[in-house]
Amino acid sequence: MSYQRTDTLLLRVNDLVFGYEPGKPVLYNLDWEIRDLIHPDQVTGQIVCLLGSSGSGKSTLLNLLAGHLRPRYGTVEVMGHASKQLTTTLKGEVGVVYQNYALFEHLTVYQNLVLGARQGAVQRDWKEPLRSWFSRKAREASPFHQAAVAMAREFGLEQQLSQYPAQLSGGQRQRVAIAQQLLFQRQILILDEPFSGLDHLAKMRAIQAIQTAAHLSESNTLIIITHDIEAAVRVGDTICLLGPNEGEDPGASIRLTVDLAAKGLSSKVHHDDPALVASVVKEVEAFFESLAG
Amino acid sequence: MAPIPEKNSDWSSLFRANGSIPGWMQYGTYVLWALLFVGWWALFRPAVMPSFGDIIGSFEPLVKRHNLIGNWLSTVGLSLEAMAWSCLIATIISYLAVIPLFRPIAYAISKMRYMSFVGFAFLFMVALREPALIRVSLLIYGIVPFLVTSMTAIILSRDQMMFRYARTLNLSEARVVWHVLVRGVASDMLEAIRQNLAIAFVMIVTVEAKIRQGGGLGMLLYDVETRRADYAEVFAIQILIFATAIGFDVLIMLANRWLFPYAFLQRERSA
Repeated sequence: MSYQRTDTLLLRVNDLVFGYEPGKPVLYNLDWEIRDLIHPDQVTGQIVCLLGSSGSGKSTLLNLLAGHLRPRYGTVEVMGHASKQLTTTLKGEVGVVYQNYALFEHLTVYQNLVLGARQGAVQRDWKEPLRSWFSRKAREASPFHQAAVAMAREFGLEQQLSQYPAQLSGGQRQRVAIAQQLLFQRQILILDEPFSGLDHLAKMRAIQAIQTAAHLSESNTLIIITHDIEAAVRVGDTICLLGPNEGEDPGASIRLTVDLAAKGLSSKVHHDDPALVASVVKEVEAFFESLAG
Repeated sequence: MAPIPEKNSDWSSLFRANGSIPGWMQYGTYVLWALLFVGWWALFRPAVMPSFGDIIGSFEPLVKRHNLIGNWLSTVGLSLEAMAWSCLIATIISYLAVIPLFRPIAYAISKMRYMSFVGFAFLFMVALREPALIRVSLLIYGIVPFLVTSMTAIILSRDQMMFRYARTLNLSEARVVWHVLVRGVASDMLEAIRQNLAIAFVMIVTVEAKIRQGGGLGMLLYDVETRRADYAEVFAIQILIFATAIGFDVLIMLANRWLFPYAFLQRERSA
């Protein structure tokens, strides 16, 4: 299978500096680019895994990309929209699935999904929610209803539509959170530690859900923040490693980029070559250890 | 195949720290303690305390001669009015605490729970004159600080991540507040009201005894205790106040369960 990196920039982080306390930067001189990855014959999204040990600044970078924190210095460009120097990206431009799969607990799965679809609509019709509230016919004709039901079907959640998030298992909750963000129709979706605390079977299901999400649309790009090297190798097209800067430089930056697609390990391909997976895992682990050493 | 027990019904679970037992066993513990209390009361109560028969028998003269039902209705009406106003005022103050400029007001009112209204009643009388208004105002003065304390804690402890999550969905700030701070905590707010209802019933007796116009169980209780020293009647009135408060408590709990079923699902799951 041939994959091509295009010149289209999905995300560019330029010379980013951020710290919570003066003189103690968590991220320092961080440069990072994600370019579009296409396959001429298939609909493929892209999965980029950001690896880093605990406390390396992964969550801080997530909040900077999502626009919840402002960089002290540097810029973040999302889909070619450059944020002004020292400003945040536009809120809502990047979707986030948080580690505990945040959802509105007072809304059912269906209502959570419809909310995601409505928020993603280019043109808002303020009467539509009212019509949907009063008339079942209007609700079923609504494009948001149709999108929500289709997405639920895609993620195997049809039986859970009338349930509240508190009634779901961890895996179901994760799928609802991903589906809700995808319904927003953004091109970049960040998943914070989606494999944390999962057993092997649950991890495989999570990998499957992430791959489903990525490949629903050509333009979907998922950034997976994790410290699970093996899962990252199994699910990703690219692995980026966030680690402490060399020499006297404080903070962390992107220290290693592994193009898995170029190595024949792409998210679109079922990773059935355990030897190849193991060798890449070993390579990344060795680099990790060298950073720690 | 033998049915799988829902929870551990082993008797030893009754004595285990944080033990989980089935519902029937838990209800059984309530009945057991109630029976032990009744037994102690019947056999070993101090001489000054009336018997159950005396207490039950005292309801008849209280109803016939001292308008127990009218006074009870007056107390219920006053408590409902005071709680409704207190909830409204406390909710506004608590939500204002989200804005840093107004936070000191909420904190100051919260600290006022250490200041009793005893001694200030005269100021209220001079300022308001109307007895019904004075009663409601005194109760509001007493209840609001407790409600503000609980409500502000609920609102300000809302996880920052929920705000971030709502903003990733590009919700307007008004809708972030609606989903995260209003609908997201509505059940907890109602629970705070339920828990602070006790304060209202403790205060209502004092207020009715102090401002006698309009009657009420508090006034009746004061008269029975100080003028007739009839302890069977005192206990009868106290039991009626207790039962009324418990009734309100249960009603609010049921309303909470009906209005916000998801909140109970969450609590049951985390239990």
